[in-house]
Amino acid sequence: MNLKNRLWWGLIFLGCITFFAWAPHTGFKTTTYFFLMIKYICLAMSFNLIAGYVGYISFGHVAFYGIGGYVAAILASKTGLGAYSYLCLLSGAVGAAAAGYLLGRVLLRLRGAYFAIATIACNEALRVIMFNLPEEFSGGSFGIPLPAVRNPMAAYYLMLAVTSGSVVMIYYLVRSKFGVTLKAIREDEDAAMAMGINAPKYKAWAFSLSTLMMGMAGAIDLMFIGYIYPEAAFFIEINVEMIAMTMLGGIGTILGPIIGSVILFIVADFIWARWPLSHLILLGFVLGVLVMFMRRGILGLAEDKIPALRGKIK
Amino acid sequence: MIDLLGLTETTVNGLLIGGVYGLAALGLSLIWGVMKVVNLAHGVFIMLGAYLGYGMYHVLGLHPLFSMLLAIPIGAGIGIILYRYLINRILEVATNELEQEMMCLLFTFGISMIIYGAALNIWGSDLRGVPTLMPTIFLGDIAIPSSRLIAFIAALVLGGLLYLFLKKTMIGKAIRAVTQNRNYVMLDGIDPVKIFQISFSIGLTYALMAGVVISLTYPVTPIMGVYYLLKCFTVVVLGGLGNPFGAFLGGLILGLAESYTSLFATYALSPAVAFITLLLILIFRPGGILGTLR
Repeated sequence: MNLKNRLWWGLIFLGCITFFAWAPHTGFKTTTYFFLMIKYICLAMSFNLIAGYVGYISFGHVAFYGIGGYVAAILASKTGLGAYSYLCLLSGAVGAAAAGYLLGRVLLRLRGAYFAIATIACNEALRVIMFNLPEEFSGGSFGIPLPAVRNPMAAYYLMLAVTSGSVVMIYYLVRSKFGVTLKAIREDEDAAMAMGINAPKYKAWAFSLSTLMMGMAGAIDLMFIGYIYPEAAFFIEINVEMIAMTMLGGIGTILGPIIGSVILFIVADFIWARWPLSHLILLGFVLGVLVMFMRRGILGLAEDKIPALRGKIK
Repeated sequence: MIDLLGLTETTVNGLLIGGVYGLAALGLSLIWGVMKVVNLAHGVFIMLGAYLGYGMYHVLGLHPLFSMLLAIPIGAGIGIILYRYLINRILEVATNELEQEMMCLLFTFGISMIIYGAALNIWGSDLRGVPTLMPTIFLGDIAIPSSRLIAFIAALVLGGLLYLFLKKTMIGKAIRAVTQNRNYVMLDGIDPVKIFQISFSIGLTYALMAGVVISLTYPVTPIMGVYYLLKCFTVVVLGGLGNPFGAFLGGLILGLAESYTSLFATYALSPAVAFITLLLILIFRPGGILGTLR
C-alpha cells in the first residue's frame, strides 16, 4: 500500500472516529445504538483475530466477555474497589486475557470440531457455575447490580477508544512477524511446526490478545449497563452474532469484520425492534447463505467481481 | 444423610436417565462417525421430536410412543432434502477436510438457529409436558417412576434396532465400511454419497425419536436443544464414534455422574457435570476413553 492510499485510509478512519465521537450528542437512544454497534465491531475483530488469522473457530468465545464482566463486577462490588471503577474494568480485561492464555494453551491443542465443542462446553460450564454459585460471592442467578459503576457516557468513549485502538493494533499486527507467523499456522500448522515455529506459544498469545479484547468489551458493557447476570454475560447468541458478522464482511481481513458488523447490526436491530423472536432466524439464515454461496463474505465477493481489487484485499 | 436406599435409588435413576442420554447421542455419533462432520443441529432436532410427541398427544391424543413412528418419515424426509440439496454441496465445494468440517459446523449451527428461532415464534418459551400420569413401581423399597422406565426401555429397543441394522443388513454393513474408509468402498460398488445421505437421515430420525422419548418424562421447551446437544457431545466423546454400544456406555456414565453429583454435592451443579467431563476428556484423553476417536 503506497503512501497516498495509506493517507486516504487514515482520513476515513479519523472521519469514522469523529462521527462516532459526535453521535452521542444527539440523545441517549442514539448513544445506546452506536455503543452496541462499536461493541459488536470490537467483538467481531476479536473473533476474527483467532478465527480469521489463526484458523480456530471458537463457538464459545463469549465466555471471555463474561469473564471480563464478572471479574470487574466482583472486584467492584465485593472488595471495596468500587470507587476505582476503571481499575476494575482493567482487571476484568486482564483477567479475561489471563484465562484466555491458560485455556488457549490447553484448548488450542484440539483442532477443528473438537476445538469448537470444547469452547462451547467451556462457555456453558461457566454459565451454569456462575448461575449456581452462592449469591454472597457472585450474585448467583440474580446477578450483580452496580449502580455506582454505571456511567454510560464514559463507557461509550472508552469503548470507542478500545475499538479504534484494536483496529490500529490488528492492522499493524497482521503485518508484523507475529501476524505472518499466525497466518503460517493457519495455512498448515504441521508445516509451520516443522519450520521451527513454536505454534502452541503463538496460538496461545493470539488467543490471549483476542480474549483481552473480549474481556475489555465485557467490562465496558458492565459499565454501560451497570448490571451483570449469567444469562447475559455468557449469552451464546452474542457468539452467533460475532461469527455471522465476521463471515458476512469477510473472514481473515481487517475491513471485513467492521463492514460485516455494521451492516448486520443495522439489519438485526431493525428486525429485533419489530419482530423480537425472528432475530435468530435472520442470523441463522445469514450464516447458512454465507456458507453456501459466499464463504469469503462481502469483501471476497467484491474481489471476485471487481478485477481492480484483485489481490488488494488482505 | 446418605443411606443405602438413597444410594440405590440414585444409581437406578442415573442409569434410567443415562439410557435416554445414550439414545439422544446415537444420531450424532452415527453422523459424526460416518461423515466425519459434526451436526450442530442435532439438539434442535431432539427439540422438534419432543414437540412432536407433545403436539401429537395434545392434538390427536396419541401416546408419545406411537408418535415415534411418525418421526421416521419426517426425519427421513428432512434428512434427504437437507443432505441432497445443501450439505452435499457444502462438502463438495470445500477443498480439504478441515474446511468441510468447519463449513458444516457453521452451516448446521445456522440451521439450528433458524429452527430454534422458529420454535420460539411458534410455541413460545414456556415449559410444556405430556401429562402421562403413570404409577410408580416399587421394587422392594426402591421407587422407580414407570414413565422413566418406559423411556429407558424404549431407548434400549431403539439402540438395539440400530445395532442390528448396522450388523446384519447390507446397508448397515456398507455404512460401517464407509466409516472405516470412504475411498476404498467405491471399489466394492458402494457410493459413499448415498451412504452419507442414508446415515444423515437415520441420524436425524434418531434425534427426533430421542426427542419423543424425552417428552415422556422431561419438560419440553425450545432451549432444551442446546442442553441435549452438549450432553450428546459428552456422551459421544465418552463412548466413541458411530458405535451404539459406546453411546449407551457413555450415556450411562454421564447419567450416573449427574445423579451422584446431585446426591453427594449439590443438585444445582449437576448440569455442569456434563460440560466439565467433556472438557476434561478432550484435554486429557483427546482420543475418548475407549480410544476410538480420531
